[in-house]
Amino acid sequence: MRRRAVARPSPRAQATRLTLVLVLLAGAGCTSPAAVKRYSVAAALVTARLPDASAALGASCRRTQSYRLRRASTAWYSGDSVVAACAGRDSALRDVGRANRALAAYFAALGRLAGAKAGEMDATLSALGDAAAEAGHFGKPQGNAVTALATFAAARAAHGYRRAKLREAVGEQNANVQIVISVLHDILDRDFARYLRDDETALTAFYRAALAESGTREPLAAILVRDSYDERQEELTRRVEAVGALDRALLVAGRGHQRLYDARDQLGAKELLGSIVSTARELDIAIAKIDKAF
Amino acid sequence: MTTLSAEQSRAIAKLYSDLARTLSDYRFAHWAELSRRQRGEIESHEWTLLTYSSNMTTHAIRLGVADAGNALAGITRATKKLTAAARKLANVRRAVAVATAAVALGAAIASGHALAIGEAVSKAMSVADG
Repeated sequence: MRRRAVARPSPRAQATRLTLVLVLLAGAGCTSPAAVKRYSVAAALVTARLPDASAALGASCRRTQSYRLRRASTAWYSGDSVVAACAGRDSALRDVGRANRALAAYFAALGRLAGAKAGEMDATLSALGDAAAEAGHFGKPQGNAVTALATFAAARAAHGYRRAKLREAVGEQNANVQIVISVLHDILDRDFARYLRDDETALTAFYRAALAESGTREPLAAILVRDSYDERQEELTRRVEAVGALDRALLVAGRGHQRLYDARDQLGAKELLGSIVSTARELDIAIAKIDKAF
Repeated sequence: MTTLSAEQSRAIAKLYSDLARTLSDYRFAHWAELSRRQRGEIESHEWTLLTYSSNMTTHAIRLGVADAGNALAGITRATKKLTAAARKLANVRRAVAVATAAVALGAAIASGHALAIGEAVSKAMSVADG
């Protein structure tokens, strides 16, 4: 007889279940690295959203460049022209992706350490630091921080963990986590926001010119153009909100790790447990906002 | 070559973005007064300014100058003055002059060449002063 497949709970459902367990543990006064695990799961979910934001930024650039090419000439343009025009932004987004991947790998490794589980070795992790060190907006300290997190994650994935190492891990890596989150915050808050604002300027100029040039001659077409503009504008606004929510979530993740660091000698303390559960809930809310925006 | 910090590059990128937006506002506000050719010229400059803004955001600016601080101050002052001038354009000739000076300054920054930057800053200041 065939067994019925059992649906795996989503990461968010798992996180919620973990929160309930933690609240019960806190009530019972137990000491447990489960708080670190709960935090790591939520923080990893935040890093998992950054690739979506990067992809949206890349798509936005290609659309903007297509507007530029269409305004410059009525001649046909190839997709290669658009890709070439966005090469700089794509390269910057790849750099951000590498730093984020190192951070995500660290949170995953921390979660496994808290759960005393061994993971699988990701051989590509160690290359992330070198790549980040060569990136434009990553200075030497930022590149070193990415390298340290990636190296930590790769080594721990290979050798498995002991709970006793948790305090050491949080203590060793807090500075690197704060540096990488800080550089990602700068990029999301300023660069991503700037890209989207410039894309919005281009979008408005493109549609407004189309309406000004032929709107009165072709009123029905003008209605469709305006509708299309409104849709694109709403999409851009959602992306701006998503990037803002992602940025805020990363900052919360950074503050959460700092709390773990400050209380690393008493990782099972009731106060810390409560504080970390509250951080994890904040992260859950932020993730929901990001998901809504995308 | 001196590489400006990410912060410094971002500040100039923002000025270029503002300038593009201001010129765009002018073009649409005076659409009927501008000829097709004039609109096309200003629009072309707007796209170039947006491209500069994006490039400066993506890659830290590199300047081949002995005194990067002085060059940065000159670039910032000139770009701010051009943006202020773009906000109170009296006629289309002035709009085109401001846009052209901004594009020339952006090209000089992209080249990183000291002499080109010095000349473009002087020209931009002169255009902005009217």
